[in-house]
Amino acid sequence: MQKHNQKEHLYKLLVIGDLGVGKTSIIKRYVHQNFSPHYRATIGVDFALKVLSWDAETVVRLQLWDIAGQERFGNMTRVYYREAMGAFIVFDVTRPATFEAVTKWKEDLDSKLVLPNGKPVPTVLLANKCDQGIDVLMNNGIKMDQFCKENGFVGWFETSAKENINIDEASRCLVKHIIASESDPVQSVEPDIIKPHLNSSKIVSCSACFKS
Amino acid sequence: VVYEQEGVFIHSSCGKNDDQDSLISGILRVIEKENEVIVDWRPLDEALGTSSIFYAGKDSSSVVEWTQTPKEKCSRGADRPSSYEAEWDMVTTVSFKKKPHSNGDSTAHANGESKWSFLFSLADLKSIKQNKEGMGWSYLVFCLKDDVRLPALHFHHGDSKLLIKCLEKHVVLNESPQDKRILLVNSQNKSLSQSFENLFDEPSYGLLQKFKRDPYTVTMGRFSKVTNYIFDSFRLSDPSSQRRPPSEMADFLNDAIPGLKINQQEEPGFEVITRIDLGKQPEVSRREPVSAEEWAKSMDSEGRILNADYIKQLIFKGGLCHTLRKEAWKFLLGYFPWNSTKEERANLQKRKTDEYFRMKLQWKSVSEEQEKRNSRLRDYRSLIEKDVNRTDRTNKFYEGEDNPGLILLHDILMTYCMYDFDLGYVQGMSDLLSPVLYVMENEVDAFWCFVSYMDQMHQNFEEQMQGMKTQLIQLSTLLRLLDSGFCSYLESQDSGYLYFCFRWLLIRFKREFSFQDILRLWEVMWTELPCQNFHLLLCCAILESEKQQIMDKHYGFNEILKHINELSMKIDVEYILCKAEAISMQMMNCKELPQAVSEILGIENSSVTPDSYTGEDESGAVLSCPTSLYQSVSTPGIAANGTRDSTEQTSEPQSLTPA
Repeated sequence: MQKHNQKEHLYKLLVIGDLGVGKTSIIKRYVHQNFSPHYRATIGVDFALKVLSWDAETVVRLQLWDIAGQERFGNMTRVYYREAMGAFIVFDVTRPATFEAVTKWKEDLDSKLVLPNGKPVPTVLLANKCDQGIDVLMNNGIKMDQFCKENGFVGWFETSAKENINIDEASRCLVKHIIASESDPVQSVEPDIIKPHLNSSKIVSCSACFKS
Repeated sequence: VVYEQEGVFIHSSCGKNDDQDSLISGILRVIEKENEVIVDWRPLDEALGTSSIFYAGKDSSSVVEWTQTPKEKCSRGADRPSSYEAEWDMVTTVSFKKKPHSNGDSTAHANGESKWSFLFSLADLKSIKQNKEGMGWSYLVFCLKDDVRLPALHFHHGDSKLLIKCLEKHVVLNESPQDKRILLVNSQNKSLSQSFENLFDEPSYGLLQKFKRDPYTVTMGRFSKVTNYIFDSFRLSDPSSQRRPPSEMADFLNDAIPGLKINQQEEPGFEVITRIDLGKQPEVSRREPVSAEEWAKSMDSEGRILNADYIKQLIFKGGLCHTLRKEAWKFLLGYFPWNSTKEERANLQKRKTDEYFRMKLQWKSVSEEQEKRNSRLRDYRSLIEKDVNRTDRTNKFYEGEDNPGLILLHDILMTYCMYDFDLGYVQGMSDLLSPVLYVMENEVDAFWCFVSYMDQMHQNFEEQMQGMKTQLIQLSTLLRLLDSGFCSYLESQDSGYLYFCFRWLLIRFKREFSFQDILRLWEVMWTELPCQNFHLLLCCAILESEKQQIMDKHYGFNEILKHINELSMKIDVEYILCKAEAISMQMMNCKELPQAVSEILGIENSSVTPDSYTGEDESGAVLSCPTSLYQSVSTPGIAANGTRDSTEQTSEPQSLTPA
């Protein structure tokens, strides 16, 4: 049971991006700590819940909305956006087209969903399947930082659902921004780009993904 | 204070653009002053905590504290309460939370809930909009003369009519000719005010008159609303009945109005939902799956199915035993004509095999260079490869690496792209193919059966998803007839479009049931019995089963979606087939089925004219005789040389439903 003076937050988070970029896998890894290449294609939407002990006083419950990536369903799956507090946009580093679609997803998200204070919902960009070691992106870290700034992402991470790289970190980054935007509805925190390979010592394999 | 009611809620999530999700409990008062009457609502804490409220509006006759205009609301400005925690509470606990009644607490919500409080002078009131028909509780929306609409007040404790009655002492309220839900404030002619008083004085009479006069479709919709009036008016005339349990009230109503059916709820929260004319849901039982023996018996020496309609009825009632599926599905899906001989089918299969491999060769022979310049084919291929790898991989037939089942899935889907290049491959199609291939265990047969199935499902996958939209509309039409109260509830939660049924409809429940159950469900649906669009009645059956929980727990948009989504693998297939069949019987036995509904279900509307309809007749008399169900489907097209005579036609069906 929850301690007497503990605060509890529940946030609805969207996970969106092109078909087959690994949205479901990221969620399964994050919530169930496992991985399979055979998760079924999501039709419509699926749900998962992750509970975080944020700090001594705060418990954060994340309701993850895993939204189908198939473009054709777009018109109908957009209704699932409402009341979300944050989002992950995922692309597959081995398929450049999925990165090109990122701006489309972001624009679509921002046009359909804003926070009560009128600002876009905090969104983190995930470059998934970084374990594949193929750097098709021709992007180095600095370019990605620039990209995030220009497109209004609060941060970006190279992730691997398969190897469990950076998913917890990405989530903490997003939650941090949500809490910040919540407690200070007028002033949003400066976008900070967290470079996983600098921040976290336990991640080694990720550095292979960077050109720099 | 001439009126005071606790438990009047503002649902701050009801505005279309609002994205919060909370209920604010408050007290509604009507206060008489020297020369004006004030209507005042404020949150519970505040109302209890401060005594100064009676004077708050002294200097103004209009909105004093509630300063939002609808425009501001749309822009989701600063009006949102800052306590997110409180809002999410609703999502996590999904139960009504009463704020503690302590006075000291009132400041805590100062930024949030008190924003919603309002008061206005009755002189500024333009109209009152009442709840949609059939909602479990009543709500009112006040519209002021400057066209400011105040937030809807939800009377969870029932008595909106008391308020109306109270207001009527001061102003005349007339039903708007355009919309009966709207009461217009009329400052001039009191004698013109109509029907409301009557309704209160002689509820059962007024209702019956109305009921008899109006054609079914109109009455049907209004009926539940009217019941609410009566419900309240009974309470008015008998104050002691205020605390009566809903069941008792229901009996009371039943006595007063013969023929009125009240679907009783166990929980007290949502008292009366009315449903007329559909009658009680009949008991339906299912039979054993069709056995190999039964199947063999229905074939003549050359292999024709003698009485296709009879066999289809058997399949509808019980499904097929698994060994029969491989053969019977080909008939059900229309790959084999029912009256074909064995030899004809062998020839057909030969032709179809050639045709299949011709198309398969087309994509097989595309070179890498060609594919580079064919982006559509490339895209289809990449989609198919992605999806095949994640289709039913826990099923033995498709599990493990390099499983031949996967290659077949892939090849059939690729060949289908060649068969219908415009559609190509869309996510979800592999889900439809997988059980078919599993049963056929043959590439060519699976392909052609899949083609037939896709003929039915094609529209779901088209660019504009017209099939999905049509089905959602049809479903809502059916659901409204079945349970308008539930429909209204869903609408009040912005869920009226039934988007949460998306996956059910797109891939015919494939993800909602176990693999074995899906084989059963699909073969039953492929009989096209007992009416068109039976799958929509399955949706209705599932929704009706979940209605109580959804409404009792007062699920909002997100929770409804989540709840429906998580029914996956929890629904009993036989139970839901029975229920859906029972609903079909209710609808087909309904004397005055709305035109739209008969069209969806494809039933001849042999409706009795409204004139001959006698409202007082016990509607129980209309109830189910199962044979009529079968008569309506079994008449046309008995197999060409059907030796089984018509006596069997009529006698068999009854044996299907052992009472």
